[in-house]
Amino acid sequence: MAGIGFRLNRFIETGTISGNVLAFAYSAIIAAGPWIITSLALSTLLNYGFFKVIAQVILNVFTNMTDREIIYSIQNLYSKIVNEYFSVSIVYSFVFSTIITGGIIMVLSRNISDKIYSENYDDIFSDTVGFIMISQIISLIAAMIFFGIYDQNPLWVKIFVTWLFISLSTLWVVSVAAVATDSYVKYLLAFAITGLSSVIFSILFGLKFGPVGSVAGYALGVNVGISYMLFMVGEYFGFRLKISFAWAKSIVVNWQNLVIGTFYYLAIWIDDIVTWASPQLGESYTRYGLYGFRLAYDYDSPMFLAYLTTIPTMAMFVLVLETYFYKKYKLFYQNITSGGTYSDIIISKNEMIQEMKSNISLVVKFQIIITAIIYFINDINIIVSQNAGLSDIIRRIGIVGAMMNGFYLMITLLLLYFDFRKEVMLLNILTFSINIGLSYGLFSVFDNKLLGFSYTIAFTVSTFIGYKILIKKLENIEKIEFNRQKMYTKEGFYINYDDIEKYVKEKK
Amino acid sequence: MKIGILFEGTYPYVQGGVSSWAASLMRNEKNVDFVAIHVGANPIRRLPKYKFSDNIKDYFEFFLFSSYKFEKQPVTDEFMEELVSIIRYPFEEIYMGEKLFNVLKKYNNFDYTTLIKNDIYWDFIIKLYNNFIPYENFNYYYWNLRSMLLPFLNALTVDIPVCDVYHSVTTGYAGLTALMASLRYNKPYIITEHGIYHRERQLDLLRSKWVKDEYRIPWIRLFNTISALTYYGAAKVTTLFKKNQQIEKELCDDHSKLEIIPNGIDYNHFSSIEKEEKTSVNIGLVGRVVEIKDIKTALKSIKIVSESISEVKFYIIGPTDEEPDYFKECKEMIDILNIGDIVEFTGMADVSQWYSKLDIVVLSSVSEGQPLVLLEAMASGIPCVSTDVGACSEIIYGTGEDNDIDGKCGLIVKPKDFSSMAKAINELIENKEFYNSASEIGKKRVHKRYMVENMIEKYDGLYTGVYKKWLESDSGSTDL
Repeated sequence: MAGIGFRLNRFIETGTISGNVLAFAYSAIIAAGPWIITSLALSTLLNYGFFKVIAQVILNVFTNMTDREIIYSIQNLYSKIVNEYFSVSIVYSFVFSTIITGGIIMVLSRNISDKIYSENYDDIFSDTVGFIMISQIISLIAAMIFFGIYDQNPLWVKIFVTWLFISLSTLWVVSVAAVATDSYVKYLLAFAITGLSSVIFSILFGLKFGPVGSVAGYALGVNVGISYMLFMVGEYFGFRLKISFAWAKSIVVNWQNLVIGTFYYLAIWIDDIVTWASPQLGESYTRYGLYGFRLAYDYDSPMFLAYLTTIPTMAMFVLVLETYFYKKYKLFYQNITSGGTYSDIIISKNEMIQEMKSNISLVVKFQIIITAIIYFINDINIIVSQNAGLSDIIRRIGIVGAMMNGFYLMITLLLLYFDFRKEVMLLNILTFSINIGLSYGLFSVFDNKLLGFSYTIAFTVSTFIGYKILIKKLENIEKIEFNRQKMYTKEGFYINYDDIEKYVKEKK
Repeated sequence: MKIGILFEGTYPYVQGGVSSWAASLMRNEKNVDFVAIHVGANPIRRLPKYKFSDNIKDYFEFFLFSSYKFEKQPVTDEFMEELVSIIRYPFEEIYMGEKLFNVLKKYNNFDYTTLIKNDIYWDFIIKLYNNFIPYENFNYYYWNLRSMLLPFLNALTVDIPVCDVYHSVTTGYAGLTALMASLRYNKPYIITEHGIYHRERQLDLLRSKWVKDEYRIPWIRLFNTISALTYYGAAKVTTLFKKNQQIEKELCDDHSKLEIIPNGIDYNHFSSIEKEEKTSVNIGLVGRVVEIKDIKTALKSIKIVSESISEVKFYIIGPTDEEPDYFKECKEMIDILNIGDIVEFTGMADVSQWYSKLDIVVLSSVSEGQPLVLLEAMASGIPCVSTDVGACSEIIYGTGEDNDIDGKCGLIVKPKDFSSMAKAINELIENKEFYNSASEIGKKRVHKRYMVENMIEKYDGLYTGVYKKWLESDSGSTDL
């Protein structure tokens, strides 16, 4: 995200309120834009109010139906498109594609940033294609295993859910390369295209073919977005496609990134998965002819909305990280690499830590206010949503959990800024372990009375531990930075009598 | 008895002084077996320039400027605390050498390369920095220390084959490795210095442009300390000639362990070389075409000689491939001086065959130990002109000691002084009486003092004596 800081600083340096608002809005778009657009697209399909408006427009534009016919058929159309088949396909494809690609995108992200740093742009397109291939193969294998176990599912479900699943995996991978192009407008446009075409194709195909059409339509829409993003990557870095598996090496080298990404998404979703499997809340879909799929709508829906409440944290974090903190961070590393004295290094380190603490404090305060407002609004039911009827505990604790998840993400990203990959990897594994352990434990002891607590406790505990680690590490960051650098020396070996004799014979 | 003999950047890869001496020692010393141990710089495979004699039973090589994964315990805080407590800058070399020896004796089997990641090390280098150079680029300071320490730490950590006695042909890194093997396996070690290692490093550091001024003196004193440390731990310290021993005494309090064992050559072989009839005056320089031999000074002197003596030929007998740039510069100088018709580079050659053709041997080096080439020439009855480096003046003018004979077997000039060198060559050519006496004295001197048999006998006695003494000592008996 090299270009972000520059643009944000330009806004902030105006010194006006509007400049700061613009900077915040820009950060929000960068941090949460794809998420907002994807959520909007899904909300359109899953929320009848949105659906009605959008479907009217689409049917007007793409069909010869009269207004009367359209209004008459929308209710029928909604149940035809948005039903158990669609919900199950979308939720499973979303959740498991993020888990499967979570690690891969971390490795690709590192691979691309290394190549940009070394100005070796030629391989980026090839590497992106390579990473797409590997994510597609893994997704395909996962889908084949799932449908191998639950063979009773209809053939169309097997084919189109697999396609949607693979498409979403591909989307997450290619979007990492697309964001590296620094063309943020195009990047957001790509997500807008993805969302819009998914909605249009779902409605049009759903109208003609029913559930199979809506799932296939959604997948097709995702593929339109993928194509555009791939084009962006090729256009920016060059369309050089060479058959090489050099990119695979970066998976081996950056294996910690693979674990970090995978366990982060596992930590986020595991409480949902456990809830799906629970007899209390999990709902089976065998009566619709769908085998192996279970969801817990009463849990998933408030938790999904809760995730959206962390958008301010992410936006604020991007803003302060890329502006105030980054300046101090850069100065510290400049002092290390470009001839600073030891006292220069220590002074800039202290300033950097001070700035980081004040930035964290700012983000935390900001998010607490937002969360408190949402809490208040939520409690008096100002938000009218389909969650009405859910227990207060899930709603309330979900929002707190999401806030802690936001803080956790901030702390782990800061740790990754200083390349403490091992620590982040262990933290993510810890979060996942607490979440899965407590999800099972709380279910077995308290039934469904403490839903959402496992997620909240897991991220709260890990956030505090992560913060402690961050502060402890930064206290000695200059020592750590020097000590962890490797010397550019060749690997040593030993030569013995037989070796030297053999070498002499070879050379003769 | 198995002798682990350690070389640093010489045998079996580089021809010349130390390597020729080592090959001769191992070939002629029939009473012991050898394990040749080479301490290399960068990890590369090379072809040895020497064939191993039958009594070389094993070979081992490792590289100083490389990274190894040692399967040893990392240094402990106790070790680091003791180590740091004895290092005080400016170093008092002899004091520190003794203290370091005691610490290394106590903690002799760590992976010392882990030292640079120890917190105590970090605090220590910060303290040094703040006390002495707080204005300096810290990044440079840190990496300078780390890169300079790496070879020392590798040398301290690496495990070499177990032998009965270790014999390091230098102090420096090889000396440290010998010291640690001696402490780890509880065996004695001896040091033989041809050139004085810490003096050579001192010259390198003073000459080098890449070392900042702030670092020169500390590094020089560190190398001095390493010499003091290895002298302190050694059972015996030998060198080739008196001047060297005087320098050793500066860093070695226990003079009883110091001994002089001159180089030796095969007198019978060289003295039996028959002179060939020839029409020109043949002058030879036997040695590698490298900068330290200062071939250019010899060329300039030959130019002067050729202006007064018409029938003169100059042969440079030795490999030319070691420093190709320097070889090229020499050829350019020959063109500029217009002496191409009288100068010839023979390349690698059997020097014995050349001695029959030569009338005078010239040695123009800026640094030497005790050059075998002078001894060989003298045994062949060839007077020499040499620069005043190393043991050259002892060899040419005599030591004045009982086991030597009086008189000059050539002439000594100052290094780089091509005019004096030309005068000396001219004098040998023109003064037949002096030429003949120099030829005779040379032969006699080598016969009396520099025969390989003498050298072997002394080393044989040295190995046996050190080993016996060790067996009789507590260390030896506990080990047995």
